[in-house]
Amino acid sequence: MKYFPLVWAAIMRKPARAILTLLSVMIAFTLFGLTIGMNATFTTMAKNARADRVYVGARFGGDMSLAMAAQMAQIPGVSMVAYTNGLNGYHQEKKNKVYAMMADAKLADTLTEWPITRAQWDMLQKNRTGILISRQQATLWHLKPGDDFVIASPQHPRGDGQPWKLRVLDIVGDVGYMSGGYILGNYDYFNKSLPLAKQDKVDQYFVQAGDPTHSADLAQKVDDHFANSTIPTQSITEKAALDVSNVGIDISAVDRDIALAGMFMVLFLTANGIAQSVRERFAEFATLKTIGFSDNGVMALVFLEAAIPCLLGAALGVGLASWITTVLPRLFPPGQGVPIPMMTPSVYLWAIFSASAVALISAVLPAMRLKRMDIATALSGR
Amino acid sequence: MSSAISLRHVVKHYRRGKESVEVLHDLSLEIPAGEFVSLMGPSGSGKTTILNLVGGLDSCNSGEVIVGGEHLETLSGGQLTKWRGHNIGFVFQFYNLMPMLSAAANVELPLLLTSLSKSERQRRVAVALEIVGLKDRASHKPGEMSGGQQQRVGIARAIVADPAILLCDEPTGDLDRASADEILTLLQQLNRQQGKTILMVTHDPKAADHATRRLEMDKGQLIERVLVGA
Repeated sequence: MKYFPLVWAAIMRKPARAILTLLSVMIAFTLFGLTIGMNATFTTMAKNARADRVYVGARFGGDMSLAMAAQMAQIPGVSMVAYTNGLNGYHQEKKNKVYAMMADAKLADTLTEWPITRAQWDMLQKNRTGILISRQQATLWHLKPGDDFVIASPQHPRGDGQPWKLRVLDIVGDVGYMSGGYILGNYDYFNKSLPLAKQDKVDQYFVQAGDPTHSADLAQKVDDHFANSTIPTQSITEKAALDVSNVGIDISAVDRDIALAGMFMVLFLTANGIAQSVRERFAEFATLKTIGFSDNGVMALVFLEAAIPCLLGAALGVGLASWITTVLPRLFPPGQGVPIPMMTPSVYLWAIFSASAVALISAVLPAMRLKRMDIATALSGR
Repeated sequence: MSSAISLRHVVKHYRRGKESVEVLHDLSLEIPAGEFVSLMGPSGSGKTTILNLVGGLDSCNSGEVIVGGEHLETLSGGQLTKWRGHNIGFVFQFYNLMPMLSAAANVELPLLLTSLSKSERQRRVAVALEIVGLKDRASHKPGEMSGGQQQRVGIARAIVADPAILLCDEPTGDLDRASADEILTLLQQLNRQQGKTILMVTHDPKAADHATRRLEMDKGQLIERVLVGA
């Protein structure tokens, strides 16, 4: 601790350089935090994906008909069909985007792994204007049970022209792959409140396979069934949908590469800064060695000089990334297919490890040069 | 009186490309404890080499360098560093202060290597700055002080750990006459009042006159010893 003023003074010897280095490290670690956080999201999504569930959507976009539910239930291998329609809109201001999944009663039997009790599902069916809101969303909108939550929806206006006034029934747990949280509402209430022309529409079917090992075949069968209908479908198993390595390119690997590129950028920047700083102060280090600082002591000073901006920049960068992940759900509400990075403990650990590694690697060569320094030559300025 | 510094049959040569240049030829020198010795001579005569050998910053090719009873050629690099921190104070021509640290923080540097408490370190720094007459400039950075004041800070840094020997390499070489005289008077006081053994390299005959003994060097050998009286 007694050496800190010496190290800090060395860092702040050129304030503009120190601040620019810190900002660069911070920005790189913001990118690092977001990309590694995104990978954490992908990992959680893939880990939690169910093998027996098939998502069915309209192949060319738009809504599907409610009547298709009965047809799907007839397809061999289907054990259950549930559906939702999305209520897109905003809360109070247009920038506060909201998405609520308006769920039919059978969704309770499909999403059995979600942290929602039977009593809570029943509450949702009995209270037609009620919603269940996950913890993340409740925190985001500062909601508690009994609060009203009003959603204005230009895409799904009510038949009476009023906004959607929904009441929070309960706060429920979050689900790993529903990054940013979720809101569940009552499909029947939603459906019957829409203008007649917009009723009986579904934006997503959840088809459960009787045999999880044949869910991919089942997805194909569903698509084959509706191939020549007015609304052809596009079906995919949940496993495939949530596995980002299964979309032509391995997004996780791309993510990792971006994070790695950021780290290399920081490494070159820090290494150059430290090398330059040591070069400029060679005689000063010689003086320190003259008055009794050991080789290891001088090397430790250089390592600390590299570590402080790296660790401080990493802390600020990951902190900024954490803040961004709290803001992103407002910009990209859950259910829109945009995964939100998760700042898990492993992301922070990776950031600390990477910052330490960058500091260590960037300081090695200048520190070794100081260790080998011939004091007499350095003091003479030769 | 026992010798504080003793060089016996010292030979030192440097390699310059393929050529080997002998800087000190079988040089012997005794400096008793408490003496203020000035070392003069033309550039390249080996003055600074002697200072580096005595300070443990360099090693001789043959002979013995005994400082404060310690045979320096027997010490490892780490042992030399530790020994230097406890026994030698250095005063440089260009002060070699850390420009981003205050005068007090510069003076405190050698004490950081000790186990002294912060309050004790601060007390000793205050004493050292008082001795050099800069107590009121403790918070000033080197850039805010004159050359003479910076050299006083350099001297305070050299004496703060209370070493027995001060090695001064052209301490007045970058100063005007008045400032140089102040510094030399200060060194004289340290020698007379605190019994510091001082070995000072200088080009300036007037500076050399402040010493109790003047040695002159040429081509790696002591060629003249003149007692100037103190």
